[in-house]
Amino acid sequence: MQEEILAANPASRIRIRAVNDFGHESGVAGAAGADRTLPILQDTAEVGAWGLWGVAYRDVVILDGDGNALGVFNLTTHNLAFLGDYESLLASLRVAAGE
Amino acid sequence: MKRILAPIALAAALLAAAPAPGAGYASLLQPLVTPVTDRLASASDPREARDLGRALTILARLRDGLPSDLRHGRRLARVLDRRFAQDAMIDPALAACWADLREAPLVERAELAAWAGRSGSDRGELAIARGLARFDLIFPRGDAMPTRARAAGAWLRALRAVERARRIADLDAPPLAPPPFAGLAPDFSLDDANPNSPGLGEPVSPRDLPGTVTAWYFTRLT
Repeated sequence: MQEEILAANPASRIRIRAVNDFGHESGVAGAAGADRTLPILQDTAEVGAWGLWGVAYRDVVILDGDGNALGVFNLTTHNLAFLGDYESLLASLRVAAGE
Repeated sequence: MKRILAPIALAAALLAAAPAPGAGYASLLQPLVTPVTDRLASASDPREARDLGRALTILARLRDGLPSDLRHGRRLARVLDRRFAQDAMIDPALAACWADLREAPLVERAELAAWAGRSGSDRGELAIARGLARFDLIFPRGDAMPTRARAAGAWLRALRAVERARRIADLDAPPLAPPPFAGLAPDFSLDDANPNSPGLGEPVSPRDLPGTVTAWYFTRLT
C-alpha cells in the first residue's frame, strides 16, 4: 500500500510502519523481501510498544500529523483481500492526510 | 410602498438570520439567493413580492445535503415558475441551479457504480445492482417532466434508490474504529529490523515525522 500511495503521489505525507511483536523476531527475515522496504520495527520487552498503545493483533493505528490517534482499522475484521476494505483503509489515510 | 417594504425587510431578516447549510455541504440552491433578493428589491407587484418572499423563506431553510436540496428545490420551483418562468433575473439562475441539481444525482450514481464488484459481500453486490437499476429507471423520468418541480421530485426518488443501496451494502459505515488510546500517541523508540529498509538499524519513533499521517501495523511475523 505504501508503494501505491507514493506512486500515485510522490509528495504524499502518508507513511506506514509495521511493529512486530516481541518474541517473533525470527519472522522478520521471512517477511522482508527485496521489494519490501517498509520499516519493520521490532518490539522489545523493555519498550513494550504493543502494551503501551494497548493494541490487538493486526491493528492498524492511524495517527494524524500531530501524532494524535484518529482510529484503528483491524485487518482481521477487515480483509484487505476485499477491494472494498483495501480501498476503505487507503481512503481513510488519504482523507486524514488531505490528499 | 409599505406593502413592498415589508417583504424586503422580511428578506433582510431572513438572510441575516439564515442558518448556514449543513457543515461541509455547499448547497446547490445557494446561488439563487442573490438574484431572488435583487429581484425582490425591484418588485413593484405585491404578488411578485409575496412569491419572492416565499422563495427566500425556502432558501433560508437549512439544507444539509443533496436530498434536502432537491426537496427544497421542488418547493422553490413551484413558487418561482408560477410567476417568474421567463424572468430575466430569475430564470437564468434557476436554470443553472437545475442543471447542477440534475448532475448531482448522476455523480452519486457513478460513485455507487464504482463499488460494483468491490463491496465484499453478495448482499452488497445485489443491493448495488438493484440500486443502479432503479436509479436508471426513475432518473430519466425527470427529464421528461413538464415542470422543474416534478423533475426535482423524480431526481430525488432516483437518488433515494442509490442511498438505499449504499445503506444495504454498508458503504457508508465508518471504516475506522475508535483508537485504543485517546489523543497523543504514547512515544516509543524501536529499531527498524527490515534488512531491505533504507533505515535498517535506525531508531523509529511516532514523533519522527511531524506533519505526516502515519499508519502503525501491529503484527506477529512468522
